[in-house]
Amino acid sequence: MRINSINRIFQQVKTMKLAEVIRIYINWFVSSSKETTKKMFLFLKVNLILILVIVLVFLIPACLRFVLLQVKTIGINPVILNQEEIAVTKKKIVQETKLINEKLDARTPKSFYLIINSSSNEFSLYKGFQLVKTDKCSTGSYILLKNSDQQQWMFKTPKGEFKIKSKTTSPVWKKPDWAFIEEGLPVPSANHDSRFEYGVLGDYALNLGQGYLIHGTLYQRFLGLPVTHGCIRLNDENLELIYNSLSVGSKVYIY
Amino acid sequence: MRLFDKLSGYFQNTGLAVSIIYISLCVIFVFLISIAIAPLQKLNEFEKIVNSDSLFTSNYDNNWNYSEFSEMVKYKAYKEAMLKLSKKDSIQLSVNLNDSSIGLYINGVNIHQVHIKLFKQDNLLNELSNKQYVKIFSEPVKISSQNATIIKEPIVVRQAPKDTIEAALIATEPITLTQNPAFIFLRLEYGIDLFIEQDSNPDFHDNWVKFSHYAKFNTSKILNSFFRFITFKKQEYYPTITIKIPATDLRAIYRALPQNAFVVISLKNNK
Repeated sequence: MRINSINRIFQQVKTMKLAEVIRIYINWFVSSSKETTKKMFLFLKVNLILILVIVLVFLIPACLRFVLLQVKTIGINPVILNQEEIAVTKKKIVQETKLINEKLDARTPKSFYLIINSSSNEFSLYKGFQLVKTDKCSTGSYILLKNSDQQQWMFKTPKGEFKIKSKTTSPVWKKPDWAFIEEGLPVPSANHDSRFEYGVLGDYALNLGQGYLIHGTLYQRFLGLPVTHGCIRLNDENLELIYNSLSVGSKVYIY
Repeated sequence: MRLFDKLSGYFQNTGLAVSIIYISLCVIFVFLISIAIAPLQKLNEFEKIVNSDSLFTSNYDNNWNYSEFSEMVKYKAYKEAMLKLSKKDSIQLSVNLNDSSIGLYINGVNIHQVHIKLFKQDNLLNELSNKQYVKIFSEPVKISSQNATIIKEPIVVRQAPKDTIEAALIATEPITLTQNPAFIFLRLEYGIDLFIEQDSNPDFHDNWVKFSHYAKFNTSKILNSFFRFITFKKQEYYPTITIKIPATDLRAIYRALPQNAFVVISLKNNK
């Protein structure tokens, strides 16, 4: 029955011209929207008070917040000074600020110092306020190595202010226990020959203390990535520059 | 008694549903009013902090309240705070909205500096008097809590291999290269909130992370306000500063900051 009636309507529409269909549709839309508008007005008329109350409930606090802050500002008594007082106070503030600025500037080393960004794996070499060189480096991988003996090693570069403790040329790496454990090898005795590796740290090494070094690398493709066991790796050219620029006692800032 | 009769009569005529709506509206109104006056209470709190420090009050030169000195006094306060910060040997943060820069410092040495692309400063902070400003911002402000969408230390736990064959199998590219969208929230001493956002959100994931970061914060804020309202406690107001910087710098700053770090702030002088 329903399918028949739908078919009949479909046939009628099919026979109608397009303009006719549009006209019918517009008539239906206008009449229905008129009805909706009528209903809306009726609703507004009946619930006018309620609607007003709802609006005020939100409007009054918003206005109050604005007005209160204005009143607070107006309430402050303005200071009135004569020209002499203005000049004296101004001079005092300027002088005090200048003194503070001088003290602040004195905190920055005048000689070479190194800044390491362990997040983006970049270093910046400065002399005073002047940037000398910035390039890629490698810092700690943040790997926490655990073995079955409940031992664990955290491979991260420490953050803060450090000083160059010592400088060496052609450094030899004395492999610690974790280097063997990481490679799945048995740990040899403290001064066993297999602990000593030549040429893996590059031509120079700068000691930051607590076993952390700034050194070269054989794995140049990993520069700019967090891959080290906590040391700072540089390419050969940058290592030479830093070795020649920094002296024992020079500051290294790592963040 | 007459009033009560009138009211009960009114409620009977208008019906229970409408009465409930009106009562709810009254409650909402009182709730919103309590929130609306919260900034004023915050200003009073700042004033109390100033008055409670008798040493500061006695040393403060009242001529500094002169409107023309506002900028100079605020700059001096910032530099004073920087000098005090330079005596701390851990990594600290400096936010200077006057020259749109944010930087990291160790012992007074600037180790990282970024240009702030965009920032928004709470209107309440513009209303601080010179005296209040100097008291609050001439010292490094302690970070009381930190919250972020990125982790401070991207630690990867790795079990030691049993032999060289297993070691060769687990030797892979660094895992820590995976980077998440960065949004940071720092709550400072004196109840000031500092939001640091990455300056661009290129894909849907970034926008979604931003939305959920703020949704989490706003939900707890609304719930806290509501809880305070029903327990008849004073509403809290946290003036906010929102900053946008590149994501790589944001990660570097967040990862560098220790748990109990200090911040030095220089607000934009809008007076």
